[in-house]
Amino acid sequence: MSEISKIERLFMTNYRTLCIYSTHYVDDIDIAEDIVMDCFVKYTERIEQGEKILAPKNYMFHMVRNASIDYKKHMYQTIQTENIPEIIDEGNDLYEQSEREARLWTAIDNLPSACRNVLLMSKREGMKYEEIAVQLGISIKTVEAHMYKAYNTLRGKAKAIYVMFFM
Amino acid sequence: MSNKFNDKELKFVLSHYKEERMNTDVAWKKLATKISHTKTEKYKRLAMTASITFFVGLLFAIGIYFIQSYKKIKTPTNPNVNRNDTTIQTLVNDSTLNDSSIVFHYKKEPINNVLRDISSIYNSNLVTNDTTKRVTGEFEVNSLEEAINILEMTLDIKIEKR
Repeated sequence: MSEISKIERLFMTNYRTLCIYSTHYVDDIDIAEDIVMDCFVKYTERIEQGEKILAPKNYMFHMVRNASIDYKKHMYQTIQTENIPEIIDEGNDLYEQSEREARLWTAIDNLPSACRNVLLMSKREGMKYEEIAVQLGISIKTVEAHMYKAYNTLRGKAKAIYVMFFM
Repeated sequence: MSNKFNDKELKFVLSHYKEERMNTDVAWKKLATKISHTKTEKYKRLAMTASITFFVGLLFAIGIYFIQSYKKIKTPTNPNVNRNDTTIQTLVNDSTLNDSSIVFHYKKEPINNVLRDISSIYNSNLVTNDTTKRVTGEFEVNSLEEAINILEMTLDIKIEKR
């Protein structure tokens, strides 16, 4: 397998997780994407210069973490060490947490748009079901059904759910 | 691979969620373009550096050549240079003939004519026992004796000063 193919594989399997991981530091998904992209460019340059990297995935996580912290330092001048999550090679959970969050993100991407909207309005914007129903011009029961479907999908139960509500 | 997540993780994802972000395929294409662009830029810089180095080297070599030529080459005034296929150059280090190298170039020139040239340059009178010989080629000499030696050895003749 050529070096570029290996890098592509590393990228395809870890890109989202790395972006989420970086977001924990920089708090902005767009900035996190730029950081991860720059890290991969530097990684590729090092590979092309002949550097041997034994654990590419761990290497990338270290690189992304360091770049994210540098960004944070640059933006805010100081950074509280107690706010920095522990690094991956100390057996920290952030790595696995980022993987779960990346899968969550993918699951939200794959929700039907109406379902996704209701989920975001309810859980992110804190709107009540009645408010959502009024804004979207649908019934509260429909809002409930969307939410039920969203949660079931996110928890991996991807099957059609028919809900009967009794008043 | 477990899909179980906690509310804290869901809250984190929802708080940062934006549609059409982290599209891995799109991002890979962007990275591949960047890598390619970086490589191209690197090769361009290398090519430019190599070109500049080459031209500087070439200019330097040409400069050295012209400086050397300007210092050493001077057209002769004494010898007869009007014969066909004959050139005589005086490579002058200073103004005195004795310190100069002289280059003779002949093509099938009778030995008598050659000896006459050398005689006029070095203010001598050279004769030979074998006047049938002809000289073809180029030779550089620093003195009369050197010229006599070269001709005697190459033509197998005897040359005398009178």
